[in-house]
Amino acid sequence: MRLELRGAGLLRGDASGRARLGLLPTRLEFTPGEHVALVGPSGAGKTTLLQLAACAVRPDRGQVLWDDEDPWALPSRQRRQRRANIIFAPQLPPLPPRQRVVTAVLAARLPQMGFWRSLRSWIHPMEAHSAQEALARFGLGPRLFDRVDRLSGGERQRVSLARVLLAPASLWLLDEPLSALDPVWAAQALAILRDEAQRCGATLIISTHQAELARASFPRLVGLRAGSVVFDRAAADLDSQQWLRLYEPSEGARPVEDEAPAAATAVAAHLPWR
Amino acid sequence: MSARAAIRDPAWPARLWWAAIGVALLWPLLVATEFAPWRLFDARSVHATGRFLLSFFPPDCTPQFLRLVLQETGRTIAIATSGIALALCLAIPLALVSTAAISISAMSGPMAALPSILRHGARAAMVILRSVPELVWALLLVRVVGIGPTAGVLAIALTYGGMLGKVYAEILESCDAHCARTLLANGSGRLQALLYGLLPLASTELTSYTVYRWECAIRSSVVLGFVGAGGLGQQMDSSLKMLAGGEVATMLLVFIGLVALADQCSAMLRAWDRAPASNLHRPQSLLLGAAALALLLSSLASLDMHWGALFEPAALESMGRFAGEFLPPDATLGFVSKVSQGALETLAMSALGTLLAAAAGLFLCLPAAHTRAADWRTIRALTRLLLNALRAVPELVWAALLLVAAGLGPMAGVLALALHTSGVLGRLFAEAIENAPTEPAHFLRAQGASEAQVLLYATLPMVAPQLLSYVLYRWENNIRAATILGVVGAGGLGQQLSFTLGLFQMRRAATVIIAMILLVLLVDFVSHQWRRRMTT
Repeated sequence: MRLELRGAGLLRGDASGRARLGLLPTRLEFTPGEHVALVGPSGAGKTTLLQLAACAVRPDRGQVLWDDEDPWALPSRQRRQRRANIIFAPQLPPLPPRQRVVTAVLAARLPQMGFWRSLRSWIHPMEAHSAQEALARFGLGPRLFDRVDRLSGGERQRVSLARVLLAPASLWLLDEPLSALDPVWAAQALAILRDEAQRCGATLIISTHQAELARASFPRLVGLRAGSVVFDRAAADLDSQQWLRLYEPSEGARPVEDEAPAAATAVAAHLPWR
Repeated sequence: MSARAAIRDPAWPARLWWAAIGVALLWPLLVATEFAPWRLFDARSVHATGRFLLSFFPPDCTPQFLRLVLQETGRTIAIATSGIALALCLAIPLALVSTAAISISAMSGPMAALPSILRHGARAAMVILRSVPELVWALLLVRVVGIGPTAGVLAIALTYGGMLGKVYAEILESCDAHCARTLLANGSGRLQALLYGLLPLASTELTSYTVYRWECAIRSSVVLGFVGAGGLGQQMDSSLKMLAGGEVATMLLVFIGLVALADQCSAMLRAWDRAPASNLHRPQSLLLGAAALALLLSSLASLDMHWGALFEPAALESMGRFAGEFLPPDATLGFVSKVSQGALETLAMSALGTLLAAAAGLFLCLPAAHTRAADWRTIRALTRLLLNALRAVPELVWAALLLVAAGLGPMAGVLALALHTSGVLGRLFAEAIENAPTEPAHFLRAQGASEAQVLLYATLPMVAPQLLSYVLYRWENNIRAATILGVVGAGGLGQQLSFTLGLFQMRRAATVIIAMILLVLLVDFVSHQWRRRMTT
C-alpha cells in the first residue's frame, strides 16, 4: 500500500485533556513494498506518526492518505473496511489477560471473518494451524493454548508479531516491536518480519531505538525529533553527526549545561560505525 | 492436512462437556417452570394484556388519588426506615459478638470455649434470620400482631438484622486488625478497641452498605404491603385486583422516582466520601446524622405501632402459643415429597429467571455503557431509563402484573425475576464494562473489527469473571425472591406457604419454611464455591 502524510499533524491534547507534544504537520511518502525505520529519542513523535498512519487517531492538521484516499473522508463503514488492509502493533500489545494465545493471534483476521465465522472461531478456534505456524516462527509453538497472562513480556511481544504475520494487510506499522526482546531474538524477529513483508509486498514501517539493527536492515531511515522530521534518507548516506544531533538533549530538557556533551558522547558510543 | 488434524484444542472436550451439562440442566428447568413464552401471545392473553396495558393511559392524576399515593409513599419510607433502625439494634450486637476482630481470647491461640460457642450461636442466629425472606416473616407476624405496619417493620428488622450483622462482621474482619490488637494488648476494653481501632477504618464502608440496604428496604416494604403491611404495596394490590390500570401506572412511576431518589442519595454519599477536604467532612457527616435521625423520628411518629401491646403478658403468651403450633413440623413422607417438589420448582424459577436476566442484561448493557462517542447519546439515555424502570419495580410487583398476561403458575415468576434482575444486571454489567481497560477494544477497532467482534474478542474476555460473579450474586438474591413469588400465585414454595397458612396448617407451614431455609443455604453455598473457584 502507498502511504502518504500530506501535512498531517496532531497538536491537540490527548483524551485526558493533558497537553502533549504530538507531531507537527509532516509531509512524508512511503511507496508500496518499502521498508522504513523511524528513529529518534523518546517522545519525538514516532508513536504519534504510526498512530496517524494507522488511522487510530484523527489528524487535526492535514491528511493521511492510503493509496491516495483519505480514510477520514470516507463514511465510517467504508473506513472500517479499509482498515483491514493495515495492521498496527502497539509496543505493548493490549491483549485481554484471560484470552488464549491462539484466540489473540487469530483475532488479526477478524476484519475478514464476518460475524458468524468470528463467533464460531471464538467458541472453537478455526485455522489454529496457521496461528501455530506463525507462533512457531517466533519460537512460541508450544504456547498456542496458553493464556496470555501466563506469558512473559518478551513472549507477549512475539505473540503480537506472530499476529502481524496472520493479518492479510499490505501496510505494517510496528511500534518498537523489538523493545522487549533479547538481542538474538530481536535480530531474528526483524529478519522474519522483513522476509514476510517482502513476500507479501507489504509496506513495512517500524519505530525502534536499536540504531545498529535499523541501519543494517533498513534501506531508508526517518529521524524524528520534537515532533518533526529532521532527516529522511538512505541509511548509507547518514553520518554519525546526524545521529548525534538526533539524540542530543533539547534546550528545555537539558538538565545541567555541561552534562549535555557527555550524554551525546554516550549516545555516540553506542553507534556501530563511530 | 495431517498438521491440521494434529492440533487439538486441549480445552475443547471440557467445553463440550460443560455445554452438555448445561443443556441437560436447562431442560428440567424449562419443564419444572412450565416455561412456554408463546402462551403469552395466544389471542386471549394478548387481548387481556392489551386491554390492561391500555388502561394504564392516562395515569390516574386526580388530586385525591395523588394525595393518597403521597401518604402511602410516606408510609412505605417510614416502614423501611423504622425497620432498618430496628435491624441495626439487632445487627450491631450480633456483629460485635460474632466478629473475631475484637476478641480478646482469640489474640493468643484458639478462642476459648465459651466465647467460641457464643460466637457460633450468634452466627447461626443471623443465618436463620436472613434465610427466611422478609415476606415470610411478615406472613407469620401478621398473624401475631395483626394487619398493619408493625408486622412490616418487624419483618424488615428480622431479615435485615441478619444481613447487616453478617456484612458488618465481615467488614470489621477485613480491616487491618493491627490497631485494634495493639489497643487490646495494652489493656483497653473491647468497645474502646472498636471505637478507636476499627471504626475509623471501617466507617465509610459501613455507612455506604447501610444506605444501600436502606434502598433495598424501601423495595421490600413495597412488597410487604401485598400481605397487609400497608403502604404503596397494599394500595398496588387493591388497584391490581380492581384492574385499575391508571392507578397502577401512577404508582409504578412513583416506584421509579423513589429508586432514582435513593440512587441520588448514595451517589451523593460516595461523592462526599471521595472529596479529599477533611475539614468539610465533619459538618457533612453531622448533617447526615441529623437528617437520618429526623427521618427516623418522623417515621416512628407517623406509624401508629402498638409497641406496648406487643410486650403485654397476654400478647407474649399468645405469641408463645402461636410458635408452639408450628411444632413439630409435618414430616410425613407424602407432604415432604410435595414440599421438595415445590422446592425444585422454586429453584428452577430462580435459576431460569437469573439466566434469562443475564442474557438480557448482556444485551442491554452494551448500549447503556459509556464506551462510545456522542452519536450514541440518545440510545444510551433511553437504555439507562429502561434499565432503571426494570430495576425500580420489585420482583413481586412484576409477578403481580404478569399474572394478568401469563396466568397463574411459575412462568410468571420466572418472567418477573428476569425483568427485575435484567434491570439490575444490565446496570452492573454496564459499569463493569466502563471500568474495564479499553485498550484491547480500541486496538481491535483500529484494526477494522466490527463492534460485535470487539465484544467477543476484547471486551468480554476482559470482564467475563466479574460478570459471572455478579450473576451468581443475583442468583443468591433471586432464590430468596423466588420463594416469596408464590404468595401472589407464581407457584413454588411460596404458594405452598400461603396455602398452608391460609388453612391454619401451621405444622405443614413449618416444613415449608424449613425447606426455604435449606434451599437458600444450598444456593448460597454453591454460588460461594463457584465464585471462589473462579477467582483462584
